Amino acid sequence: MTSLRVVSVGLATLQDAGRDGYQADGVPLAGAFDAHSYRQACLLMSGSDSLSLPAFEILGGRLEMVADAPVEVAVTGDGWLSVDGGPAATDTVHLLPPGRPVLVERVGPGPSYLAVSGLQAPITLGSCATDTFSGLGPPVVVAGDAFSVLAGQPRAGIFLRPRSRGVRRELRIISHLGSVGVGLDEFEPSPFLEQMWTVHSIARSGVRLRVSEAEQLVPVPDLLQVKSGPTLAGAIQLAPSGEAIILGPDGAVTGGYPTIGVIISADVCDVSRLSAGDRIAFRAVSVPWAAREWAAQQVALATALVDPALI
Amino acid sequence: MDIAGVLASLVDCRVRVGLDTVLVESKRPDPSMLERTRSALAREGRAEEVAVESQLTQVLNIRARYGGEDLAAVSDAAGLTPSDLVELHYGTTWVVAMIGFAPGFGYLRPEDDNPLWSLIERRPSPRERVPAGSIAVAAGMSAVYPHDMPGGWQVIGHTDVRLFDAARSAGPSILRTGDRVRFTPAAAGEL
Repeated sequence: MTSLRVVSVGLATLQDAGRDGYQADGVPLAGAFDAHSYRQACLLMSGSDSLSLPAFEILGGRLEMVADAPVEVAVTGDGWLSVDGGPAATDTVHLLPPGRPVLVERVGPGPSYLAVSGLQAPITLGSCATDTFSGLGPPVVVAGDAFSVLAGQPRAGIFLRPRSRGVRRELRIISHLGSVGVGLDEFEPSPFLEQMWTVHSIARSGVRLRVSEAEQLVPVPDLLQVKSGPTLAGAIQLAPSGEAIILGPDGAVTGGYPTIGVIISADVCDVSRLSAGDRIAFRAVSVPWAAREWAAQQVALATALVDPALI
Repeated sequence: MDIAGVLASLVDCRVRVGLDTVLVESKRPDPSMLERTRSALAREGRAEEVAVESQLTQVLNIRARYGGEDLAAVSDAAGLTPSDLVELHYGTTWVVAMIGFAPGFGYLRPEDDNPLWSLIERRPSPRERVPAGSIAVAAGMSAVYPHDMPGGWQVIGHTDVRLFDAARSAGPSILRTGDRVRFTPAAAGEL
């Protein structure tokens, strides 16, 4: 069996589509922070974006690996890639010769994903995802780690049609949610959603947002608490400090702050591409609008794949 | 239609229950779903009771060694002697109102809604590490810590039962929403 070894690494974890179905047991979904880029990697490696294949998520620095036999690799997301010592295109499957390095460097703003055809990863509760909150899944990747790779169908040369993807600083949301009013009859979330927010910090557990005093439209009520309830990635919670937190894949089972909105599925992947200091706004849309945007995104994703052998 | 009926009619949906809320997830959202769920909830009582009506719930007995480090402070807050507080704790039937915060962490509500438990607050500052198996109370509820983890609830005892096991075939969390939990005090000689 082929062995793939980590030569050097900044901050990287194994991720896939996450532990779907165990949230009622208190287990965070985890999985790729930028699900869109991750699914592009799956599409390149398998021809289907619905499989939950393991991929390395690079959140900081670089990841350099070497295999003892030829393997096929692809990088998606905001990364810079070098294969066998020379720069190589992202969103494309490359053949990596044995003993030669594949190097991915995060250039931002979002994570990058390194997929390796046939990569084997340990499964916990249906997923290989590293959950930085609960500790489920494998530990973070460190230099010297070795992974097994099984041979698969050759896919080198397959690529995704280029598509520009800017940083989305207006995140679309659904507001008017049931949990907002619990114990807070006078509490009206819309002024909070209309403020300009500044990204304070970003992590897989969540993205913290603050608002400057000058731009604050309304004070946070003194008794801002609700009874804990289920939450999900993309939910926007308002903390008593006035900070808002967009929950990420590792921080999203239950929460005790009021949920003032939920980012639509099509935009949740864009949360991972925010940077500290970014100024962002929310725009409320309807549920049918959100469903249309999601469907359109799935079509665009699936039709981007190009197999030169079939042209 | 009652909430159980509404939830059952939501095809391809995942339903998760909170202390005061219900989260419905669907890949094919239907705007009327939100309204139907909300109005049915408004007519019904507790979410956890109605949402689990059709499921099999169990009664779990957890053997407890009472005497955690916060027992004295908790008893003071409740205006009871430590032994009376312990007796009240194991005399109470607890209902799993929600699983959350961490894998397998059940929020246990006193079935009789005894307001005395609400007199007990969280610790002023959380501990960095509460050992797995710690039995704790806070904010009107009780819980058993499923892992070694940070926590701010007041520890009044300990059990050897492990509430979360990723390898367990019946599901990783021993507790399920709607289950009843009774604590059985271990005899002094069993410590």
